[in-house]
Amino acid sequence: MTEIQCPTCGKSNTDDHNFCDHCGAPLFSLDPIPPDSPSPRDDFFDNNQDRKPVQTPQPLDEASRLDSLLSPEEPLEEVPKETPHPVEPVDDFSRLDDLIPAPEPLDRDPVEKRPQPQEESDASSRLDDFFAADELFTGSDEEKDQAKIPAFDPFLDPSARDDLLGEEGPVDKSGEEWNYFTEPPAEESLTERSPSIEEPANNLDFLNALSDNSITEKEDSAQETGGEWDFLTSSSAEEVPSGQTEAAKGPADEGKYLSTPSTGEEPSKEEPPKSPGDEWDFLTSPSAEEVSSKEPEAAQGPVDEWDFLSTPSTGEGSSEEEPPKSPGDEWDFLTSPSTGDEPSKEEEPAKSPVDEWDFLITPSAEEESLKVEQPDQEPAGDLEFLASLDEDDPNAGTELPAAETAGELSFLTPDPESEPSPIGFRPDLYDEDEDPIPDFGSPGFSEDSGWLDMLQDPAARESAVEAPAEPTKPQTDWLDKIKRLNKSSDLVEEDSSFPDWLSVSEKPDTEIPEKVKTPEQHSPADDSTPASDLPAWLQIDDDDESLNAFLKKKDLTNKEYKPAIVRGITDKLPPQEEDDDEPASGMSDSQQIKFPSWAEEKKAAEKIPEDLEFLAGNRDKSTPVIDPFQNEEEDFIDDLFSDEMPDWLTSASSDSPFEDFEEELSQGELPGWVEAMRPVVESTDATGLSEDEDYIENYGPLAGIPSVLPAEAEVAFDPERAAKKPLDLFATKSQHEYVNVLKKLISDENKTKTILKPAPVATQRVLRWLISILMLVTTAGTVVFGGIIDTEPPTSGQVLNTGYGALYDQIESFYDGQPVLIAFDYQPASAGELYTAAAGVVDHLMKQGTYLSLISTQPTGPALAEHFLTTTQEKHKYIHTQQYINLGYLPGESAGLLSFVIAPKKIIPLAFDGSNAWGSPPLVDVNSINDFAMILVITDDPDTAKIWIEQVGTILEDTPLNMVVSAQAEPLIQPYFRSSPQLLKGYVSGIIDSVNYEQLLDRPNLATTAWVPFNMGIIITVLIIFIGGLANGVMSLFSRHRSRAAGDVK
Amino acid sequence: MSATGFTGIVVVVLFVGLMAFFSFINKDQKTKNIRPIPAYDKINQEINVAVEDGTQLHISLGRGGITGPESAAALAGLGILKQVIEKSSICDHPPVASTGNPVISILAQDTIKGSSKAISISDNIKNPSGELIGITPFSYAVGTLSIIRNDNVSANIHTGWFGNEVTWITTAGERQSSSTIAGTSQLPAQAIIYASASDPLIGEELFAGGAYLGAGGMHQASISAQDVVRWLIIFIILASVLMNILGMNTFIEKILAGSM
Amino acid sequence: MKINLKSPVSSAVAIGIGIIVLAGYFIPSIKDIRFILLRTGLVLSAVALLVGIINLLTVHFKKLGADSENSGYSLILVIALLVTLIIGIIDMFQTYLVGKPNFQIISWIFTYIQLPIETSLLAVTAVSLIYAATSILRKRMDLFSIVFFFVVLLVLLGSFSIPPATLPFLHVIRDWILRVPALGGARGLLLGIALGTITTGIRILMGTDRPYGE
Repeated sequence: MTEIQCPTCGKSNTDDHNFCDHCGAPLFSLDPIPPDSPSPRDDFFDNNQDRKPVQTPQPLDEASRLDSLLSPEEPLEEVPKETPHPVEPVDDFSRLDDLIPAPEPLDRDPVEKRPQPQEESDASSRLDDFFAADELFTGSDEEKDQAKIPAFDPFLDPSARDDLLGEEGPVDKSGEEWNYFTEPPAEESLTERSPSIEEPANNLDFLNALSDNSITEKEDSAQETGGEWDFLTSSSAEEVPSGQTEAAKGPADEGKYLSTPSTGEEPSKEEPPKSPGDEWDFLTSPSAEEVSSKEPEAAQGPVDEWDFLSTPSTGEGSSEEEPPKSPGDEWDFLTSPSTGDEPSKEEEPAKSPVDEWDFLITPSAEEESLKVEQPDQEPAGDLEFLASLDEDDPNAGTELPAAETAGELSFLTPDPESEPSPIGFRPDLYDEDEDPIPDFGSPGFSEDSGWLDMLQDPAARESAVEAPAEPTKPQTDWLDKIKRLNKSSDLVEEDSSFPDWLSVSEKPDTEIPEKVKTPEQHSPADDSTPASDLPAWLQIDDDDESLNAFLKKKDLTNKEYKPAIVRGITDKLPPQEEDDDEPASGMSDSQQIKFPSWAEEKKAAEKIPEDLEFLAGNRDKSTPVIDPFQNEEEDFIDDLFSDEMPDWLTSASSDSPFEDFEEELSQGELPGWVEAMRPVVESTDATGLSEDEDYIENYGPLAGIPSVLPAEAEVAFDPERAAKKPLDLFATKSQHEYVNVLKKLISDENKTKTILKPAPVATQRVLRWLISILMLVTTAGTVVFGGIIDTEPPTSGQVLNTGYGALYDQIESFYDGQPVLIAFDYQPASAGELYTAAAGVVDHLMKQGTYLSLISTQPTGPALAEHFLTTTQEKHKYIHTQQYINLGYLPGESAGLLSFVIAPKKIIPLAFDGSNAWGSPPLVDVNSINDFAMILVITDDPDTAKIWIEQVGTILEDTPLNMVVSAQAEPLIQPYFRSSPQLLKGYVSGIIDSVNYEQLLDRPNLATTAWVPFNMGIIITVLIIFIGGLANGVMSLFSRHRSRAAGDVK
Repeated sequence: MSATGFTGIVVVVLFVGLMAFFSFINKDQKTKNIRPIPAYDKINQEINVAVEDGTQLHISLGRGGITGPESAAALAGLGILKQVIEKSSICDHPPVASTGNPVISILAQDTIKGSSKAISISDNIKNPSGELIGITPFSYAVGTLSIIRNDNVSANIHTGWFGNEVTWITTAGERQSSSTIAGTSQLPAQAIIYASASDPLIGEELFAGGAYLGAGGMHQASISAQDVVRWLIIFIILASVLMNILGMNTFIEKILAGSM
Repeated sequence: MKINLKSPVSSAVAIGIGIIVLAGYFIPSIKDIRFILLRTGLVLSAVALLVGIINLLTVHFKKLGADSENSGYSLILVIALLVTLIIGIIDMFQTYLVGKPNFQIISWIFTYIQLPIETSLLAVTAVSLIYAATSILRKRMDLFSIVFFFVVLLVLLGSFSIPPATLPFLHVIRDWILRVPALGGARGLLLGIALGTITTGIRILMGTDRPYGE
């Protein structure tokens, strides 16, 4: 026996081994599948029966290697076990033709129409099909390395492979490679050997089982009595072990198609009659008998088709003598280790007919010991689920009852509660450390390698998860994380592009409803298989810090990186049990989040094809044991074959985790695929922007996008702190002043300022009332009780050069019948003062016998004139239109006055009562303004006086212009009196001049009567002003002094 | 043509030339080279306060018409009204204007409509502005009190031609603790304003409102022209005094007497 | 035909008429045109008074609604206006047509309603002026306010002339204040006002200032 050097670790291995005993890497490189080659899944379901035998390590052309696994159109011929199976061409038709009702060929034997039994398939051929999609497992670098490695094509025809390996392996030439899809393997064997799902695939220990199980047995077990699509049907209840706790288990039928048909074909004759549920026995874990029979399998002969999948053992030496492989034997790898194991079946009387799936059987103890030591893994490793079939194996992750033969392959049956695994995927062969299994999505026929899920043994997965080495690891740890990642809208790693196949259902694993389980499906007995039941390769290693960090970044529960809303959402998420990757409170944002190890080390895998790494058992202890199917496996198979969409396919999430969010702000829930599109950026500093780095938004829908404006302030603005921060900028003095002002404004923003109430109005009102009362009492009392004080008349010296003196002289010169124009241009309010001031003058005019013409530029003037005459001059008994004429209102103010001056008769043709004014005696001799003897203007407004002076005075020739004005207008009209030319001939201003005038006239009138009260009022006014003013002045001084002392200077 | 006429023509031409000259040289000047007047600063401040507080301003134009010397004060008040409306366009409530003269009332309403239309203030139904309050002075003053005592009025601007009735208006504003900016061309009223208003406008400061409120470059040019002519008048007065001292006054009087 | 009376048409009309009237002061040949324009302005001002009264009436009519404040005062005003108008029409009818004494009823209203009100308001103004004079030092404490305060006292005291208590020197001071500082200040103010008036008128004539709207 030659020795083969492991391309990974470099250690030598016997040539009868397909995988390294030390590291678990495949010993033979897999040729990458050409890109244009159809996917394995396509081939898997392709009905291409014209399959060329896989004789060389070259990848299958055209039809994928999976085609070799699929049953061809033509019935799978039963290949005798011991007869070498000629390498038959790969059937062009998909092996699923046996599954899918296809038009029966005429030449088909009715019996053959039945689901093709599983043929003894060459392990290599099975592997060829299994690893058809090399892109899933291999990289460019690995391809180079593969050349150095003895080519190993697991999809090789067994015979070819045997030739390659120097083994006489059974070559499955018939088209019965896909029989495993039709004929379920031996229920007993597979069921008992059904591995637990949780058990991580550890160094392909499961492959040990390949040599332990005979293909024949598997073929027998895989044979179906049912139709072609029995694999799609759920397994019978018998198949379903009641004690199964495999969450990934679904209907046994769903997995039974994966059972090696070839193994079922040949031994079908020998096999005991199968139950209807035996169709999927191949998918179930090997039976306990088979498991127990693994030990003697150590001395197996030729390596079966799938011997490479099993750890090398002495028993596998006999695997070289592989029985002839049937077309369905290509999938023997999925069932029994190899046809070579078939002969060993004789040595394993306890072995079930479904030997094809022995690989899924938990390896024996010897085999397990040869396994590459898996970190935190049971020696059983990946194949613990297979070991679970061994009743004596306490480490079996499965809880399948040994007696339940239907459950042998139940691990292969999809669990309706679990998400389907990729089609064709062998979880037991999968090294989760090296190549984490992504979510292949639909368990159907997508291009992803989700077909591998189909090959996954739910029991094996569960058992792997239940590895005691990781008792605390939650079942859905990493899945939950990934789910959280999908939910989270926070930090997105810059480098990672979260592919869709990584996205998982938003539902927590625990909420995957069981409704997807169809009754006929093989529901797992226990759906709550803890994570430890999953294969080790599906579990996340605690040591995977990078993955943890990565997931933490994505973790919604990480309060450091998410807003409160999201926190609130995530806080209400079901807590992750035994979540080692808790929110990293101490996680620094600066840590660069790495891809999960299975993604990062994809390229780092040295020399070992990526797709075979899991076979080699390479798993970095630091990498987490990722079990992408922990949550979904249980329901995967059920979901696959259920009418309902799997939960992970649906974007709707259950209400439970979000029930409590109604009260909170509704935040848009981005579906997983959208989250997957989020660019992963470097972790940003949550404390603020870094000048050297682009700002990467952390919140909101723009999370992960660099160089955007921050949506919100990441830190609360502390004005005091900001104010205290010294300015290092180069700024001018004025700018510093502005800054100080701004600081002061900001600091004063929160300070409450006492608003000074204005002085109460009551104080003002009281004072006003007081003044009013004093004035009223004084003047009224004086008027009532006072008398007339005899005053001496002013002397001539006093009268000289006075306005009232000049006016007196003018009027004194008048004679009877001279027209005088009097303008009453004052307001009614000023009537009191002007009545008093004008009464003496008008009385003097009337005493002289002059005719009066009354006019006004105010609307109320005519009325005032009438009232004046009737109240002050009643004694003269002037009659309208006889001694006086009232011309009425002159509109237009100065313009009207000017017009009147120019043409008085045109402007005012009639009196205010409509009588002919210019024909009346007062105006009969007046044709122009200069015909008046005098013009007397009585006004309280200096502007009015100016108008008369400026508009009329300049036009007057010999007619004097005189005025009786209020005391307030005296300063303004006095210049006109004292100027030269004298425009104002005389005036009387206020009560003072009027008193003097009356004294000159010696006719006391209103002014003389009002003189004493007027003086008394003055006295009171002066006293009030003086006292009040001084008091207010002193108070103002004191208040200012007080305010200055307090620092509030106004 | 008499001396007065000739003097008048000279004065008018001088003013026109000076205004045109100063408007030309100050065309690009952004800073206003004018002395600060606290009353107009207060107006700007009150406009800002009204905008912030959501209150309104009250602008009173007095009772002067357009046919007499009081027309200048009334027109100056109209100019200030226009500027205040434009500046306070963003107030919640537009400014309210009151007048005591029918002609000024019509002009005020026209100004308000024109300014409001320019700044898209359409709703003045609630605050009819520019209405004639009263024909007589005190009836006008009393009618204005109802507007001043409105709590929504934050400041009162009395620019126009007022008489003694301005006492009522200013004291009412003081009672409401609202700012009162007042200015008139009548001297007795100016004395009352100086004693009762918080920010009085004395003399010709009333006519400088346009320049201080940003009415345009011509307003600033007119202020400059006024300053020039004022200095000219000062020079003439001083020269007259000097000539009178020197005994040359009779010569000037004869000239003036002969020409008149 | 629709005539747009807005600027520049209104501006052109205003400027043209202003220039003619101004020129009519200096150019005798266009004196008649100025006179015609002045007479037209007189009519317009009278009509403007009527328009203002109508506007006052309409405004207060609008305020008669329940939502408006001071609607009662508006009601009184409207009633008073209408009553006065009706009485005046009746009185005019009687005066012009019947030959009764001139406007007796209107005179009665004026004599016994308007006149007392107006005079009382002026009397209250005196109280307000006294209060303003007393509070001037509280509002602003500066030199001019102090001078103002004491000038007020001197003028008042100078007006007091009760022979026993007459202080002659106060009369002299008062006369001097009125003739010199007051008169000089008043003239200065008037000169400034005149200058402002001229510039305001020139701005209107130049069209830069348009108080007549947009």
